[in-house]
Amino acid sequence: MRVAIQVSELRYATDDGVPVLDNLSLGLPGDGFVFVVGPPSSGKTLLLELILREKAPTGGQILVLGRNMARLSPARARDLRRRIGYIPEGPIVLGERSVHGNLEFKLRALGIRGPAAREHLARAVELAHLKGEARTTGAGLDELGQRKLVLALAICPEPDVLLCDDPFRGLGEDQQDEIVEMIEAINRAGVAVLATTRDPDLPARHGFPPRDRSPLLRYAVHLRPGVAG
Amino acid sequence: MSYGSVFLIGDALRKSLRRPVLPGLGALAVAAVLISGTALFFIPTSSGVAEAAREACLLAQLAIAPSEAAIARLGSEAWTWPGVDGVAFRFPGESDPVPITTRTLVVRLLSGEARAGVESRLRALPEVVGVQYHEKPSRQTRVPPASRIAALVALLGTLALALWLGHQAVAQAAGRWGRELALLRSCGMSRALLRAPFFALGGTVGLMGGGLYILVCWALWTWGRPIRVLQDVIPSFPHVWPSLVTGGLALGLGLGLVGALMATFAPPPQS
Repeated sequence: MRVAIQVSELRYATDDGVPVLDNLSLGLPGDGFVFVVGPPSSGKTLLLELILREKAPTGGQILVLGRNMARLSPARARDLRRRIGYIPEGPIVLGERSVHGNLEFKLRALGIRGPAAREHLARAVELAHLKGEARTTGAGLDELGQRKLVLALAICPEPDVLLCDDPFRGLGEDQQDEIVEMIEAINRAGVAVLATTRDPDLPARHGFPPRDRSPLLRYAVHLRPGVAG
Repeated sequence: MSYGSVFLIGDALRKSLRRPVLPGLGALAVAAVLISGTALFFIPTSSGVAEAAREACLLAQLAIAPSEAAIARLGSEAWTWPGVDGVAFRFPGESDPVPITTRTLVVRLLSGEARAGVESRLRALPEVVGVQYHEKPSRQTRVPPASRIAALVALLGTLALALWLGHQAVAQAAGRWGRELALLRSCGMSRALLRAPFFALGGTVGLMGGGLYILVCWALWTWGRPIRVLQDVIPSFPHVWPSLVTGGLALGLGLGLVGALMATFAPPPQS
């Protein structure tokens, strides 16, 4: 099984020299689903930004789909970046456009149109449980609906890896569970998932046992049961 | 250019131009820059009052053969010669500076000393069948002496205004397109691709300004010749018409792009 993300001895310090990440290592198998749990300001978002090459680590190595992001040319890094779906911390939806309009905007910006675009769009709407909301505007959706739309945008077109930056924040337990179930369905469809959360009970509620704990990083990494990591 | 870039440019332009006030004002300011620059370029440098007691010109009678385009080229060429202050074309029946009987180029000299050099060059042209020197008492120029200063001040003022309005138009568009930008950034789009729509907007504003400028020049040529204060400027238009059009569009585009450049390198708007 191909490794989707391999983080080895990752270090990151602020400009003032304050260590945020120190020797963090974790692996995400190609069919894996990993939860990274940590309190606020522990560097969860930073970890995702480092994986996406939006920030450069102080040390260590990150392999994404077998490629070292730090050594790729900008053009190749962009190509690889398009194989990664990303749910940023704040939900970004286009309020004036419909659910379909949001997804079409992203697909057309990526140069995808015609039957291929329609196929991606239908799949994303189905996996994100937005079938009845196709014509609703982004602003017209409730909080959960907007999170679903962000999820649909992240998996459109089909990525190999999905990075989720605490998409459960601020939601009720039932709503959190619905989002986790959707992400699990996406994972079962063949997409490796790395999700962060500040809620330590959330992975446990879905049967994710703690796999690793680094006292310095204050992280607990949970891997989906039955997956070899 | 990829389909994705074309789509993004079209989408950003459509959304930006729904609020056309700032882009429209930007285009007006670009046109104002070009108009004041043109005025500065065309207003005669000699005051014609204090220094020269007499105004000297050479009347070059033209053969029947040359077309109007050829005459325009000829006038443009003569205008660049040393000692030449300006060139105008006269049809038979006109009476400035003397009654005209054949098609004539009136080559206004900076001073009487330039006569020999310019006259010999005119006589060497195959299109010219005769050259006549004419001198008349100098009268007060029709362009007020302070016009060049006023044009320079207008040029600098409108230039600053055009750049500021271009910057504001692009910044407003970036604000209106803020969530789209955030979405595209989260997809890993390159900065160059994210900036492309705003350069397109700046370029569009600049081209609109260039188009307005050409329209104003055409309107002046069509209806402005009787206006006394413009009589020193407008007769030169046919000689430089291609330069007015290409220069107007190119400079307008350049100004629009500079405004966009200033806006896109400013800190990104927060959605």
